[in-house]
Amino acid sequence: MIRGRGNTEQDFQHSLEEVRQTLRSISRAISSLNLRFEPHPDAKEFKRNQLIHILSGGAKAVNLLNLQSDKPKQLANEYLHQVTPYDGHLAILHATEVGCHHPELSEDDDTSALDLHGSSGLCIRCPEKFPTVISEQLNPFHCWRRGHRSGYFGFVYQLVLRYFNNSGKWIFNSNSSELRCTPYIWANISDSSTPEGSNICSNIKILEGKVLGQMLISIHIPKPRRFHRDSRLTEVEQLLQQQLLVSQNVSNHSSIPLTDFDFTEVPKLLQTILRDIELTWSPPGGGLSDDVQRHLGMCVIHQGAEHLVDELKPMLSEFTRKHSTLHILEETVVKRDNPQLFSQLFPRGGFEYGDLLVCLSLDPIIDLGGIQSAE
Amino acid sequence: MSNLLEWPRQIYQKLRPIFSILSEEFKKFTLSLKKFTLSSSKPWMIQFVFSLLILSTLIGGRTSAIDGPFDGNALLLFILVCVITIAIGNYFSDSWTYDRNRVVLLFGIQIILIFIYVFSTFQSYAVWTELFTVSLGISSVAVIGLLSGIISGHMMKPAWMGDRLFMDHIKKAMEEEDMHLLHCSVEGKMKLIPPSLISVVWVDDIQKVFFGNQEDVLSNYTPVHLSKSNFDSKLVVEPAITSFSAIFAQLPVAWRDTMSDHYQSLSDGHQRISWIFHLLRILPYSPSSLALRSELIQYSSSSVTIEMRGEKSPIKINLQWPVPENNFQVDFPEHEYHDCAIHTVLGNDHPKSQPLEIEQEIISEIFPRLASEKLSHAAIYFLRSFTHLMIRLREEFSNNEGVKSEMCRLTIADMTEWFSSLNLEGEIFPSQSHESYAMLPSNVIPIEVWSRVIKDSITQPTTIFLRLHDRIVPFIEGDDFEIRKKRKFESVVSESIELAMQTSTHLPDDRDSFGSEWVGVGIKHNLSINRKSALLTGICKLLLLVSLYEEPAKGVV
Repeated sequence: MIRGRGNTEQDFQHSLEEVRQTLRSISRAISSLNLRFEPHPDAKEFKRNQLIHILSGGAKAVNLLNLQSDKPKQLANEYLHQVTPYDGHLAILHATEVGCHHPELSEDDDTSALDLHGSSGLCIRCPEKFPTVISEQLNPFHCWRRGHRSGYFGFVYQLVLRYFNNSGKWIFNSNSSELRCTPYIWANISDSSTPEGSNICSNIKILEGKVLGQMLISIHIPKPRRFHRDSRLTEVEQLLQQQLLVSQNVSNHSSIPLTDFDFTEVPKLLQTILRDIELTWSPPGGGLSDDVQRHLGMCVIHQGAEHLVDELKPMLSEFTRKHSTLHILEETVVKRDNPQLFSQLFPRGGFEYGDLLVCLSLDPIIDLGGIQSAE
Repeated sequence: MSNLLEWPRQIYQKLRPIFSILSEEFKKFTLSLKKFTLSSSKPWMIQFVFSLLILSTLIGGRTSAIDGPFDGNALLLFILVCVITIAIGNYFSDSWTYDRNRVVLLFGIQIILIFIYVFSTFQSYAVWTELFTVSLGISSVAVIGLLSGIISGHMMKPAWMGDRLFMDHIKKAMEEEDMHLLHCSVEGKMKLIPPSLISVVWVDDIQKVFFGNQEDVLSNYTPVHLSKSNFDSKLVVEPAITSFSAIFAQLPVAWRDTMSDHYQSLSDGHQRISWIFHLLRILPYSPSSLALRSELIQYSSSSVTIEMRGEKSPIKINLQWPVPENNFQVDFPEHEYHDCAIHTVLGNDHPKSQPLEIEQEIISEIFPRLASEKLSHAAIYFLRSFTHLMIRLREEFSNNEGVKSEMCRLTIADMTEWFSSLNLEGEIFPSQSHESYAMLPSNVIPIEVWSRVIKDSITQPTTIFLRLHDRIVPFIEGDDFEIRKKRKFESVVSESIELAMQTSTHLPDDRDSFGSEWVGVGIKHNLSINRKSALLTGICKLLLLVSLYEEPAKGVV
């Protein structure tokens, strides 16, 4: 039986730190872009006014709800039902104007877009009302805040949890990770040559085309491979190596069946990684409590890795139990139903029989106010 | 026999004093005759011959005679000719007394007229035709008018007379004080000339004073002192215009007037070197010092390569020079809209589309990496735009006080920091294969445009910034740029916005972050300046980036 985590605690934490830094860097980039680019075509004018407000010396977003005096709130309510096309403040925009489709919202409510924000707002619990099935639709929202359609903010961050043949252990190594993102995000994340960017994913590629509402993070668990080695073959190999010779016939290793591997360590590792991602993914400056869900949905894609799925299922169910639903799908089903998603997850192929992918669609958490991002 | 030989000797002895007196008188006479040689430095001769002409005209012309050359029939014509010729003579007084050919012509005409009038003293005008007598009268009036004009003009103290005075008096004083001349060619090459080799010449055709055998105009030279540094015993060149002015001030007023062109040339030379030092040494090599008040950078020092007599090759000498006192446009009123300031201060009329050797030297020294990546051409045009920007910012900073001045000071500091980092930012410059490469010379941002940009950015920074933002976004979204270039452009936009936000006015609920003791002591005021400065910095950066690829000012100001 093969078991045990290959990483030292230090290596593991280092890899986790790289994931954290990368996600924070992406979050900062999105916040920066959010200042200038509308998340929805209808929000163009609003964003422009907001940018003018910022450049004209507008300060941090004013949460009118927190002001001691009721007058600003009363004033905002008076404007709420008026047509104010040139204003860029959330307090005088009705929640429906920013595309909010929360079932508890009615047009008669005096709910401003600003009211949607904050810990008690409708927005933060909205994903519970709209469970996302990633394999069908990555982002079912249409509001300005969560259902952004600019095409500038998407990314796919792929991590790898791999079984290492030499040590016979599971290793989570950030060196194998890859970040594919839109050119704007790439341009805004810290350069790896700078001190701020020294600990972020170095393997960054560009996602071509417009990426609508896609903020994916995936953990790829390739099928572990280990071979029986015949002692006589080993002797022959050693002799050939001594004489600097190579033989094509000396490679007949027989693989071990998948069921012979011990996957008991994998759920723990995966759980640590997922929790870390969940806690890290936040707007710059924080503002989300720990119990708030930061992902829209999760799915597991596999092909012939039922044994591993069985190992992971309890942990993943527990992880998604509160707010979302776990979807376990076979590769062929995803390829058939949503080929675009699969090609984005594996643009160069590389998903083989026995592989498993845990895919997490992150909540965009766009701050419509936008101004808070300047820390 | 001896008696026979004795008496001539005795006679000679007796007559010897008479001979010596005669010899002396002859020498004096020949010397006097020499005065009549047509040298360009004898204005009294003109007056002398003119007096003879007047005298002979009065006597021979018989001006009151009815049938003479001055009878009343052509009185109006005489007055008209007289006025015109006086004006002409006065205006060209200098050249008519300096140009040998003109002086000979003038003397010739006068002598002919004198002879005619002397002859006519003994002869009636009736024997001559009326046409001749009228022509004689008109010619006489014209010549008299011309000479009157010349004598009343600058004949007595023309610029060319200054050469003699300069060599006799100023040069000697410069030798005594070991005052050298520093020459900076139109290519920016510097040379030190020892006082013993100083010579000047007035060139009338060009109306300028030249150095030596018309090697270069004297305004490209300036007096300097050569000393040794107290710290490292290196040679130091310092301006000597103050000492030079003191020498000049000791001379009589008439001499000073005569040498005014010489003095003005060297004074202009001092001002020119100030600008050359400012734009070619301080600005590219230590731009951060431009954010200091003039009092603090009164004598900036920079190592320059100077050619010296006795040295086989040019040597490095520390040049200590003050910052220019006046605004650029005041010192160089001839500078036009599309001119390059570096060309103007050097006096170089090289085509703007070709980089100067001195510009290439600067780029290879301050941006060696860009030069090695064959981007120096683009960097040179960037440097020109940046130079124009710094000229305007520096002037706004120095000439004003309060918010405007502080804003420009902060912008200078931010811009110079960015400028210094460009050596590693080769991505922002167009390569030779890019289509915008050919447009680089014409896209250099003129001083005039910077003036408008700064002015508008102070009053409406948000609008100007947004206009530039909208011009930059297509670069980032388009397909013309490689991804690394887009990244640089994008980062400039994002950083500018974030900086503007960080320096925005804080609202009342943020006052605690400053501590209550700071409330009401100008924090809000400073934040406003910082925000405006951050926007102005962003505007300047974006405009400079745009200028590398497109016409910069289009749709912005």
